[in-house]
Amino acid sequence: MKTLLLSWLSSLLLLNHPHSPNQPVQAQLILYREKEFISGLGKAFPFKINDKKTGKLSPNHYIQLPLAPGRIKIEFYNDYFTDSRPLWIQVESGQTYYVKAVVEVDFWSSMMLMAPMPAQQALPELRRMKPEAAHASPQPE
Amino acid sequence: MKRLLYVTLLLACPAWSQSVDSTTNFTIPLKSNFRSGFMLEPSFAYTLTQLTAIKSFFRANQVEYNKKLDRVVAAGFGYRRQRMKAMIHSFFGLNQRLLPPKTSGNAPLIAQRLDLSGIAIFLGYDIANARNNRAFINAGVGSIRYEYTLFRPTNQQVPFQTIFQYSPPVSVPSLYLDSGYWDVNVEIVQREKRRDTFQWMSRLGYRRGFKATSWQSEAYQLVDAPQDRIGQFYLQVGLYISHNRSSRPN
Repeated sequence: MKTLLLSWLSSLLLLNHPHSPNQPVQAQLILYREKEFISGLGKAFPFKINDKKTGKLSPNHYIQLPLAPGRIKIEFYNDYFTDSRPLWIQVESGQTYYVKAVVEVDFWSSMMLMAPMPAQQALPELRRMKPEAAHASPQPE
Repeated sequence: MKRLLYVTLLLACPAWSQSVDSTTNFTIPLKSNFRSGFMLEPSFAYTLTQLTAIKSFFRANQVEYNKKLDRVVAAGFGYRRQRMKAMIHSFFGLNQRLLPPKTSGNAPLIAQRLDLSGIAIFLGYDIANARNNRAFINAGVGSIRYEYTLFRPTNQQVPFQTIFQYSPPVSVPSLYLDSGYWDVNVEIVQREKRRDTFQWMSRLGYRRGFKATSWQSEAYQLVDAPQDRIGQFYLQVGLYISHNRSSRPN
């Protein structure tokens, strides 16, 4: 009985520290864009997370964002893109998600392809990339 | 009880798998990898032509000539294998008219460009090999012809049937330069994404005559004619119509 009580108390403590049960641990999103031909001339494209304008991402750059757990939608939007292919991810608290974005251009079409990447593949790719300077903080619409 | 649990789990599984999450389905495809391809290339170019000797002759003799860029259409055919490319090109200048002439007073002598044409062969190498672009450095050799006709516009009425009885006061029916040249250009082209496809292409280049050659005329045998070493900067935009192959058919 004593052990049960102790474990109950400790679980309460663990839940309360450092986050309250109402504020679950946030997840991390690392969104990165593949290097392109003369990346320096590449335009930074804006993206939305859950339909909220969040920032811009240039080629050969990455951006690190906190995410609330749940189902999230990442979408790049720009007149340059003829097609939109949003990415949906089920986000769990405390996890880090790596998402790679690649501009795919054909004769009449252009779109941003995105895919979640495993950490062991994403980390070597990220090592050569630069962090995106501004736009890191979420902006209201 | 256990069996009921299994049945419940079995029923539950399809419900779980219905959550179409990108995490499971999305991957980024590798860049296209067509081993070789043929391409046909219609294109258009703006060309800045350097012909110092003849132009200073025109200026010295108050001959009006076109100082604008030459407009050129070109057609090419090529074969690409991996990152190497060979092409054959031919190009033709679009007509350049300086008329209507200044009719008031003494009309100037006009040098109107008749012919601007050439043919060239190129070898190129793709330095970028990127997902969406290829960047070729092309080098080639060719032959070019640049021709003027010189005349003074008049208001003289001439019945067509008697046209041979009239000769205008000053005219050089043909003045041309034939020259061999080398050509270097940088070409940015979309990467081929399908077996049969179109690709946008643009090219910035320079061609230069091997040596200074004398101006000639089809109407006269010219003696001591000015010599020019032709130079042309050009900006070309066009289209590849290409047929690509993944590998050798077995």
